[in-house]
Order: sequence, then C-alpha cells, then structure tokens
Amino acid sequence: MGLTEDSQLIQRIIEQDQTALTLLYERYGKAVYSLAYRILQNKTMAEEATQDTFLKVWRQSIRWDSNRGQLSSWLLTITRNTAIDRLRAEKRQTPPESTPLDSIAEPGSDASDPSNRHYLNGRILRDLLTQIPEEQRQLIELGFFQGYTHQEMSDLLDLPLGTVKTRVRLGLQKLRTLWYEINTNPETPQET
Amino acid sequence: MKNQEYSQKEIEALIPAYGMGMTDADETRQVEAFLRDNPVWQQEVESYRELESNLLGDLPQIDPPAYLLGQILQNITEPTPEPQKEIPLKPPPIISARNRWFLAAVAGLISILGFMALLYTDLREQHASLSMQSTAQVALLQRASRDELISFRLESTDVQDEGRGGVILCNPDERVGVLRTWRFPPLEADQVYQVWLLQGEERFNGGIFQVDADGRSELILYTPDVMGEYNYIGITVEPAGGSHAPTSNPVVRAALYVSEEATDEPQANVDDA
Repeated sequence: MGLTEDSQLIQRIIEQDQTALTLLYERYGKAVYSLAYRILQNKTMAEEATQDTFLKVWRQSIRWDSNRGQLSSWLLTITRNTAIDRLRAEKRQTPPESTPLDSIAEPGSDASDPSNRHYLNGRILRDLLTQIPEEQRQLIELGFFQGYTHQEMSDLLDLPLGTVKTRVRLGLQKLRTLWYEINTNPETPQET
Repeated sequence: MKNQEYSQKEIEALIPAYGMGMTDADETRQVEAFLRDNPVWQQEVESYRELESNLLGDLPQIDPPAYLLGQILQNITEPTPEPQKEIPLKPPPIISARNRWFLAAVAGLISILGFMALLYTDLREQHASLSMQSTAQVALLQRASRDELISFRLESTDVQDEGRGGVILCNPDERVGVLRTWRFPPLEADQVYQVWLLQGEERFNGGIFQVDADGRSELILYTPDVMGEYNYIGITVEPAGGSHAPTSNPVVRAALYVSEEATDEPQANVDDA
C-alpha cells in the first residue's frame, strides 16, 4: 500500500466515510488482530482491542502524520498500546509466561505471505532476537510484547531495577546493530 | 510507584526503550522533555522506531472472526463525546426522542447480531462461497434478516446516464440496510455523497460516503425507525462532512415502502433543496 493511497484513505476517514474504514480494515485488520492476539493471548480480548483500535482511528485519524511514518506502523502502534492498556487493566492476576514468537499462529490460521517484504523482515528480526543473550531477550519480550515496565520486570523477576534497565538497553542496542548489519550487507540472505 | 528525576546519562540510557515504546509514563515524560532540549537524539529514537515497526508488523497472521468488521461499523455509529461531525436529523425537540429510539435500536441490533454471530459459526461453511463474493456489510445484514431481505433499485435521475445506479437491501422490520452503488461520478476532494431517507414530510440523514474509481461503494445505514417506515431514498452530492439538508438534486433515488395513502412523489423530496 503506497503512502499516497494511505493518505487518501485517511482523508476519507476524516470525512467519516464508512467505506474507507471498511477498506482500511480489509487491508490492515488481519495485522491488527494478529498483533492484539499476540499480546493478549485471548481471542475475546484481541477482538475488543481490534475494535478499540479501529474506533480510535475513526475518531482520531487526523492525528496521523504521513511525514512521520507509514500508516501501518501508526496503526500497529495504536494496537500495541491498546492491547497493553487492556492487559494492564486485567491486573495481571497470574504472571504470564514468555511465549515464543513463532508459537502464536493458531492451528488453521493462514500463514503469512512469504513474498511479503514485511514478513521477511519480521522473520529476520525474530532470528536476530535469538542471537541476543537469553536474559536480555526475555526482558525485551516482556517489555515489548506484554507491556511490562522496567519496575514491573524488576519486581516480577526479582532483579535490581538498574540491572533490568541495563539488560533491556544492551539487548535493544544489540538487536539494532544486528539489524543494521543485515540491511547493509547485500550478501546476507534475505530469507530465513 | 515513586517518581524520580533522572540524570542525563540515565535518560540517554532510556532512549532505546523509549524508541521501542517500552517506557512507562514517567520515563516517557522525562525522555520527551530531554528530546525537546536535545533534538539531535531524535535520530537515535527513530532508529529504534524502525525496529519497533518491523517487530510489530511482521508477526504470523491470524484471521479475525468474520463478524468483527460488522461490530466495528456498528460502534462507529454510536454517539461520541465529540459529535461535531454529526448532523441533526430533526429539529431539536424531536432529536432527543429520535436519539433515544436510535440508541434503543442500536442496542437491540447489537443483541440480534451477537446471537446471529453465534449462528454464523455453524452457517459459515454453508455460505462460504457467498461470503467470498460479499462484503462484510452484506454478510452482516444477511445474517440478521436472511429470510426477509428485500432489495430496492435506485435509478439514475439523469436520463443520459442510465448506467449509474444502486440498490438498498433491507428488511422492513429492521432498522438497518445495506446500500450499494455503482458507476457514480467521481467527486471533488471537498465533496461527498449523502443519503437521504424520507418518511412522510420528514427527511433523515442516512450518512455520507465516497466511491471508488469505478463509482462503487457500500454503506450500512442505521435508521431510527424500521426500514418499512421510509417511503423514499435519494442520494445527493454535498460538501465534505455532509449537509443538514440537501443542497443539490439527487443523482439516484428510489421509492421504498410507499403506503396506499401516499402520492406517487415524495412529500419531502430531496429535490426540494
């Protein structure tokens, strides 16, 4: 989806055009729901988070700035924040387990299109995550996909707050370095 | 949780987590204050946002349930705290009563659709081929009133353009309808199409929409009264955001449920702009 087409779609949504929202859902609804499910690990909550996400887009579409990134990125950021807010509202009655990234596809669900560039990037990033030390990767998973704050991770894992922050920072820096190496080295295979 | 003011070094160490959306409210506040004074760090933030974007968007995909789009479209029609885009359907004293009716109608419809969504699970395989051909809006209505769906053809008012048209699918006992259009002329950026429903002397705003390159569109109409109470439907071109009353002649129109007492022509025609 090109930036221009996305901009036109958002403009129509700003004008409260239901057809445009339907088109937006058809293009990105699957990605939004998948992310919500990844974070919430619950179908009902994922459906609610998906609804909330598109409702926010309907009411706040004027906030999207095409100069600051793709529409899909903005949508997924809203999705992640919405899902994490919902997770926090659940008070985390039981400590969740860190779920392997490749385990979220349900039986019978569609596989992602392997020709999709974003999908390839994602596969690469998931592989890169495995190259990060376990104690750093675990914190990134908790913080990024489950919305744990540094303090909450410190409490959950009984680690000093400073240690948590350091591990998160080092893990993310390592991930970014690996990502840049992949993207600047033309000899690196793009499929995993 | 106690708040503390971080040193510059501590804030710089939070930049990766901030870029990935992993900071709490207090950390976020302090990082953003730091970035306002040190914009050179913004590039560092953006590099992590790129990582965030890729990590978020590249998960294995799961199909959402088929009814989810219908629920979303229902939700957007509910009143919001900032109703500046809403167009009054009637003069003020009548609006309140209508809105109460409308809310009751929406609540009832939600209940019906929730029940029908459960049935849909069983019917999904049976209607798979139809679903492939239909949009989610049509599927929504068909689930709600499969046995009594009636279609009304909207004809072009321009004799030179017989290809332009539309159809509204509805059940006379339901407060919802699905409108499809085709071969509508493209509009300027500051224009929209607007649907009008006529009930005797009264005119109701049925919503605004735009069309694709082929002049096609689909729109769910949620109406204050059951569809059987409406006599005529018309679509006009209006300024972006819609109008309180039609400002142009209809491009298509159709007679709906015209009672025996009604005349051949609508009493509150959209032509009276």
